[in-house]
Amino acid sequence: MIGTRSRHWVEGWLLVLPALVLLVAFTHWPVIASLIDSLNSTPRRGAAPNFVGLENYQRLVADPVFAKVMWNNAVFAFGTIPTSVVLALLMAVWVNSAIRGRAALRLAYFTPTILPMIAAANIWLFFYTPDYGLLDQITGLFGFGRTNWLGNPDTVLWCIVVMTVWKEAGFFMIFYLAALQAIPPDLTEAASLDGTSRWYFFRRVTLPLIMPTTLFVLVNAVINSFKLVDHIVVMTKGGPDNASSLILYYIYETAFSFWDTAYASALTMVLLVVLALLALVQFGVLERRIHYR
Amino acid sequence: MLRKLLMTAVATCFASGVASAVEVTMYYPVSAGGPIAQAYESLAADFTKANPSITIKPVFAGNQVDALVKAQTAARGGNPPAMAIIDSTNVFTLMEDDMIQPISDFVKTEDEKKMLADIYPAFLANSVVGDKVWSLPFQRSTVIMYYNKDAFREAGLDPEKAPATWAEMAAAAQKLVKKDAQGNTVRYGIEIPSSQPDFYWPFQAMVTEAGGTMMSADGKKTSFDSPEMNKSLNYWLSLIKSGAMPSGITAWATVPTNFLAGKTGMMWHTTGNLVRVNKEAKFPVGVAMLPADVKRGTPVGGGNIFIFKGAPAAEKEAAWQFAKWLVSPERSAEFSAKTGYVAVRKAAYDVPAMKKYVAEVPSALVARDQLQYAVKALSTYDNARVHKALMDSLQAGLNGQMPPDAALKKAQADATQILKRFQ
Repeated sequence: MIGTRSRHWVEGWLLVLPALVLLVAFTHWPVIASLIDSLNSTPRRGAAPNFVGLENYQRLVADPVFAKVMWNNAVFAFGTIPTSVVLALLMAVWVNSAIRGRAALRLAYFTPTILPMIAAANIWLFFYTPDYGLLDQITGLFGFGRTNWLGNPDTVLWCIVVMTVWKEAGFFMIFYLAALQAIPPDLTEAASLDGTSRWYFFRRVTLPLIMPTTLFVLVNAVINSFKLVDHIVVMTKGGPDNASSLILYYIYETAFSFWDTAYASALTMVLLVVLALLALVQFGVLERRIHYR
Repeated sequence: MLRKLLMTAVATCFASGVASAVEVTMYYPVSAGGPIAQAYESLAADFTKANPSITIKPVFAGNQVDALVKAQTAARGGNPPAMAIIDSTNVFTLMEDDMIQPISDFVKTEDEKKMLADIYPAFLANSVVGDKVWSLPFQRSTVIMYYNKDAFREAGLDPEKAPATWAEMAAAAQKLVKKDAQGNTVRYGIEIPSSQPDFYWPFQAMVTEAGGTMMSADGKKTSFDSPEMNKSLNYWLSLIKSGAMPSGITAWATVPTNFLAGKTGMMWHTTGNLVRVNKEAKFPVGVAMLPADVKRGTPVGGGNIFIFKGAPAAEKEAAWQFAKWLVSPERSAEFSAKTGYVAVRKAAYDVPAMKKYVAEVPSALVARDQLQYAVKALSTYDNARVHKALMDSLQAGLNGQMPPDAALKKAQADATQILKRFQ
């Protein structure tokens, strides 16, 4: 009896071992290492790092660039998440209906997702170029002069937001499309027999049924708003004067341009805490209101 | 049996390893529009043809900043490239990290000493720290002024006479501005790049012309709030205010494109773009030294050859052979004619091929002649951070988010804070 149980125990651990090893090596250990690094000074010229306690975190509080990139990231998140999710749902509803050229439309919406971020960023870099960029050529037709979209601190972040929404919405649309197609057709038939309006049906039947997808999409959108960095590198390098810098780009800069690894670790810990809090809210609060079939 | 086979295999590997070529990896940056990659590929191939025991592997490493980051990352990972062409201003950073071996360690023979003595002193300025030469100049440049002669003619300016002072340049820029019926500018007078990581460079040219300096020789102090810095930023702002220069940040790579498209009458840019501009321009191009305020001036720029300490000795020695070969009069002349970068050796300009090239393209001499006014480029400890602190503030000043003097005070305060641990 005991023998069987212990064998189950060993088997169980053996089964999770591959995943566990990967998780520990690439997720848990780096987190712990970053935490340790953030409490030490940056090692320089072969000298060992020494323990400095919370000094790196104190620096962080006093760092205006850190405040700026956090604010930028909040703007970026609020600018991209609701827009891209709503847009994705609208597009999915549209390409789910029986219209001509549906396949072509779906493909068109999905194309930005297939493009690597670097390529997309380069395309949009051209769109935003003053004078001969696409945007200026269009506004030029209406007699507007040149606009330095990416060179102006007031417009640069919004330019990045628009580009990101364009890139992301198609990706989320695919999930919504799958969810919409999984809704049993008898529900639609029953509703039409009852004479339900389309809007009422959408609000009371479709939306609740696709809530699990919405949660999934939201989680992804939130993660992406902190994870995307390639377009910043290509389009603005965080400039002008950090107006388009996001937290991850600032971490990259601190770690690999300034080689201040201790401070970069402290920044990383902040990012981790922010993401953990957001995940708690999403899974703890939202999930309880969601109906899973 | 298996064991014996394995042993033989291992032994063969070692034997062939010794007999076969040394392979030298070289990182290089591209931050100008010329055919730089092709130039390096063909130089590397030619070198191996002449020295079959050494294979050079040139690796494109992005722009100047990317190349530095890549080399530093590789070095920290214990696998540095034997050599890399990196912006010369990073010497203090690389020294502090103990990553590079001074070039002085390799210079032994009389010929090698003569080679060093033949390099233009301005180009060596960023290499010498203490009594040692830490890097060998190669892909070097200065800021120069390009102008559109057709546009000059159209604006009633003498196309054979470039503006020689700040006042003349401002006046010419004003005249070159062209507007359409709606009052939108279709051609600006002048464009100077103001994007990171290059903004400091043309700005340093202005500061030098105004008679100022940006940093101390030991790389531990900056003077970002000096009157000359203020004067330069105000001059830059006045060009924008008069409508002769576009407002906001103008990207480094966009400036030559704008110039070639006729969107600006003049530009300040690297001589590394000379070949591309001459080739692609559909109008006669004038090239001139930068105008003077109290004097002429420009910082030197571009990449030097660094040899990395952590590479195996055989590779470092092979890298040194290649470096010497690159800096030979013939090769530096060849590289200069292919790209527009300035040949670093005085003797390069006596090479027949170079004489012929210069006779055809006299503008290739402008940057070299400007070297007599050149100063070393902004270079300090924690270089990347100090550069960024300066350029963040300059951009804030340029975009009107801060008054010029406050922006420069902030830059100085930030730089002082960064450099505190080196005092």
